[in-house]
Amino acid sequence: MLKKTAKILSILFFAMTFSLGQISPASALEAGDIVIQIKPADQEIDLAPGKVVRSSITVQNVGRLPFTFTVSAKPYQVTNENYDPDFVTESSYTKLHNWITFSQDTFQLEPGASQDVVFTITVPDGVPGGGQYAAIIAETRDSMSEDANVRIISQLASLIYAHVEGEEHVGGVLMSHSLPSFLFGSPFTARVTVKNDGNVDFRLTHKLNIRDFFTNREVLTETSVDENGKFLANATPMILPETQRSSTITWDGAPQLGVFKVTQTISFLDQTYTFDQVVILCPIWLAGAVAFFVLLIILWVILRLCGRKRRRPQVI
Amino acid sequence: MEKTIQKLLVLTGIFIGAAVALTPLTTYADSSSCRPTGAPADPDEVIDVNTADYAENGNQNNTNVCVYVDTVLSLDAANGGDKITMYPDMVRTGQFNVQVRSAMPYTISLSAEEPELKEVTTESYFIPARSEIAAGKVGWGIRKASQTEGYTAVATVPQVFFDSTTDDNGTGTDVADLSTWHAFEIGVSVTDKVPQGTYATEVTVTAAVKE
Repeated sequence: MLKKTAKILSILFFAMTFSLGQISPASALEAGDIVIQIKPADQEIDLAPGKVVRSSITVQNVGRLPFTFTVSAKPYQVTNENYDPDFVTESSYTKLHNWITFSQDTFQLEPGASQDVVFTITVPDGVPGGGQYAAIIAETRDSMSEDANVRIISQLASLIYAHVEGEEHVGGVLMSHSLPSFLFGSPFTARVTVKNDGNVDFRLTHKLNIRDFFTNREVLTETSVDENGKFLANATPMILPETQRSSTITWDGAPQLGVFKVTQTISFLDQTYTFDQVVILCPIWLAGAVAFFVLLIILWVILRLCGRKRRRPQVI
Repeated sequence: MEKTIQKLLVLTGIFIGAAVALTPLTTYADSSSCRPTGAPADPDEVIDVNTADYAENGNQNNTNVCVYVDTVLSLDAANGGDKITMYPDMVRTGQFNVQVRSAMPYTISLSAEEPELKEVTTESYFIPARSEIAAGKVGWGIRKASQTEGYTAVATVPQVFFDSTTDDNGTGTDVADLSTWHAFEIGVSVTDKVPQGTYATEVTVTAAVKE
């Protein structure tokens, strides 16, 4: 009887040991577990002093696990010509975040669910007209892996471009532009830099039209798209007040050899600039071969002239 | 001499002719008449083919149907976050992965409220954030997508570590694929004076579109 009990106990012990071995500790997070999504990623809002405006963003859980997220408003401006975002520094154009309030700032989202986050913008009386910029930040700390050295907090920024009614100063200056003339294998890039010296943002439109020099057939136009539907020769970047921004269009599918007529059109506010340029594309080795060929011709002509001189009868 | 140059001329001419003939020439891009990416939405631009006007006017053959898609931005930053085993006087590396989905250009910025890696039990010892990570020095940093070597010290203020308009994506796949994983390399170096323990910090990853 004792033996039987001991046998049963030992079987139970092994079974328990085995099953405990199968229980893994809280597994680390994997790709697709915590995925946060917002829409819209940016929005434009019209405001007026003393008025209250409501707007919203939608936060979605497109991952496999539920998560908790918080929302907050932060200032938004840019730090350089490359438009690196700055969600910390305050200026006269980033007061908007102080006017934004949320009725609720913490939410729990199940997988596949979405949450509309409503925010209220209360514009104080007497604020000057012009652009105001902020970011609604949706943050989840559930993406932190406890056993990692670097624990990641996930944040998404939904940008707000607000325009306060009042005295708006609209102004922009074309600072520089460039179109290549000879390209020996380097990428075909057109560039423009525009400065906004007003107090409200505007969009710059930068277009390229490229035609074959000999056939006049259009190679790349403002409506040309890649396989994802992205425009290849048409950029419309936003330019914030008192900043300057560069827009670059690169012709990725440029051939190695050819002669093209290029028209660069730059427009912003009520200004339009058009620049025409003939661009020669030639690989460096071919340019070298042509230079060598020309050098040979010159040498050949010199030798022929010298030969003729020698063959001419001498007069004594 | 003259004959040699004549021969060279002919050969170079043939070479140039062949090279020009074999060099791939122009390809012509597809076109679309929809609104460019980033241009402001115009509700009137959405044309519903089911409306009565559409059928009655008989515009089936020449109407261009454009659908407005809202700007969406998603972030998956939970993957990765290696546990790095450190040895004195050696630079050790790890990585964490971030995926951003966006139809628009975007940036990924990193910041930390406490940029130093702190010993989790006592919080008395720390490894400072530095850009210079080398054997024999104590520090840690993260490599920006634009950096081929060296690291950048994570600061309390967000700094751009990836910019889709200037950097290739982290996986080396087609740049046109805007939904990509970005691997950020972490570099750590310690000396034998750093006490044993687990060191960690919280890093905030912020994704934002670039209008």
